[in-house]
Order: sequence, then structure tokens, then C-alpha cells
Amino acid sequence: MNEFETNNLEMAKTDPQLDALLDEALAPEAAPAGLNDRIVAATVNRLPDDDARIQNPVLGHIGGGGFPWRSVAAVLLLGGVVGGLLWVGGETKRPGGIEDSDVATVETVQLGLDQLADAALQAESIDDDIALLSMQLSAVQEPGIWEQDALESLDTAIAFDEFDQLYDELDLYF
Amino acid sequence: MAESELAQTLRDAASGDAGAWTRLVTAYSGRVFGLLVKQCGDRELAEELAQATFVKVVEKLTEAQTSGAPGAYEERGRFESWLFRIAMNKLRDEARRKKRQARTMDMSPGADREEGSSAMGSMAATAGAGGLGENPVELLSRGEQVQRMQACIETLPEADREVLYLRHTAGLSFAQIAETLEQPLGTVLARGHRALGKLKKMMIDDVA
Repeated sequence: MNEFETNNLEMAKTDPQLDALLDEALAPEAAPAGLNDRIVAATVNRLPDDDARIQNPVLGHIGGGGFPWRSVAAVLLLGGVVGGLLWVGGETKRPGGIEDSDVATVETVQLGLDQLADAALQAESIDDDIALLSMQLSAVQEPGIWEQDALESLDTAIAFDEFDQLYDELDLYF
Repeated sequence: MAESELAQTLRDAASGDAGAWTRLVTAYSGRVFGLLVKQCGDRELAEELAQATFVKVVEKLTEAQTSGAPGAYEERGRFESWLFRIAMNKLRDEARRKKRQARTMDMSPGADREEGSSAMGSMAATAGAGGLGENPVELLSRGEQVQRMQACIETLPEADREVLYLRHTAGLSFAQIAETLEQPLGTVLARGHRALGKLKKMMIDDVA
């Protein structure tokens, strides 16, 4: 929108009599009795509840009894290893055994296994982050001597975008 | 409500302070209702729309506090423009809804235009009988002048009327009106001045 100084334009009344007449002709009607009370009654329950905001239920679901990331990573890793072993076993039993041309394939499988291992480590790291944040959230929700510390930890986590990073990592790997 | 007080009240209301929210509603409900009833001419509908306006306001304030979601209110000293924009949008939504339902309902203040026109004709005849001075409008009583002005306003295009209502009924500045209508300030100023010119001419011509 326009940002230039508009005071002069605002104050420039072309015809004070006409303006006064307009003010009178367009004066707002008196509001009906009890209008404020009715509006407040219809809206006040939509105001946020302080306690509910501190104990954010969405954040509370992260970690703890949430999705078993570590188990999923372990299953993926195990599946990769078993699959690789079976493939290598099948190749060695095949007439002619493993030929030179198969070496590249084996290397590709090995690379895949390495990537799976990395993914598992990453998943474990994410799992640990979730557990830590979950502990902080639990501490926030329980009154006691740790409350302030927990709040500060949570503030720090938010300040360093830990939740966002966590989301990005989860999004990347799963 | 002073700007600093308004900013604090908004913060408190967004944090769930019912007292602050009540102060906010008390400060603005009358102006919102006044603007709506002038435009739709129906007090019950105006109250319903005023209520819907404040429901929207509280939702957006809460969103701004908890999530910063798109469309959530961001305090930059433009609360009034934002508030009246919501009210105007509610009015337009309602007009569209009524139109869709094909009900016979004219949302414009010109709903009783025929009646207003005949009133204008009657006033002109009265004034004519009384003789004309240099400014014939001044020969009318104040009450008659106000009635004439109201009738003339109803004949203006809707866009011109909107500017006048926001200026004289809601008490907004031209800059705030521009923000409320999401139009360039120059357009709003031009429209306002053009409307005044038309009104002045109509007032004098009708009497003469």
C-alpha cells in the first residue's frame, strides 16, 4: 500500500459544511442493547487456554510411545543384509560361479548395504533426538523443580530449529 | 483506544485474556455494527455479521499467537483496517449467499431507493415553493438537509458509497480506507472527492 505522507490529503476538507452534513447523515446508528455481551459470549470460548498452549498436545505425541523409528531402521538393515547374503549365495551356486562382470554388481550391493547402515545410524540419531525432546516436553508438563530448566531447554531446542531439522531428517529418510 | 494500549490489548487477548478481549469488543463493536447496518439496512443481519466478524478476529488472533499460520493477524498498527476489512468481507459474503439463494433481498442501501427518490422529489417541491437563495440548500431545515443528503448518497455507485461509509460512519482515515478496501490510496482519494462533488451538485440541483 502507499507509504507516502498522506496527512495533508487527510486534512484537506473541500467543504466543511458538506463534511459536517455527511457526518450527520452517515452517523452510525446506536448499537442494540447487549450487543457487546452477546458478541463476547459467542467468541470468548475461542480464546486460547493458557494451560492448553503450554502443554501442546501435538508436541506431546513426539517420542515416548510414538512411532518405533529404531525398530524400523533395524528391520530395514536386517532386510538389506539378508537380501544381500541370499543374492551372493545364489550367485556362487550358479553354474560358472561369480564372474568378473558380477563384481560390479556385488560392489553395488555393498554400496547399498553401506547406505542402509548409514540410514540406520541416522535413524538411531533421530530416535535419540526424539527421546531427548520427549523428555524435555514431559518435564515441561510436570510441575516441579525441573520445570524452568526444561522450559529453557525447550526454548533452546526451538531456537536452534531442532524440531525443524528433525522433521527434515525424518522427511528425508522415511 | 490509543495505539500502544491497543497493541497491548491485542497481545493480551491473543494470549487468552478474556478481559482484554471484552475491552476490544466493547471498543469496536459499535463502529462495526454501525457500518454494517448502514450498508445492509437490517439491524438483525448487521448484528449477526458483527458477531461473525469478531469470531473471525478471535480466530485469526489465536492463530497468530499459536502458529503464525498464513492469514493470521500480524500487529503492525493496522488493526482497524483489518477489522473493517473482515466486516466488509462478511457483508459481501452474505450478499453473495443471498444472491445464490435467489432470494429477493437487496443488500444495497438503495433498497428503498424509490421511496428515497420520491422523498427527494417532495423535498425539492417544498424547497421550490419556498423560493431559492444563493445556496438553496441552506433554506432547508437541518433535518431536511440530512434527509436529502441520505437520499442523495443512496443514488451513488456502491464503490463511492463504501468510501463514504468507511470515512464518515466507521471514522477511518483515507489511508485506512485504502487498506480496508485493498485499493491504492490515490483511487480511494479520487473516489471520495468525486463522491463529494456529485453530492454537492445533486443537493443544489435538486433544490433548484
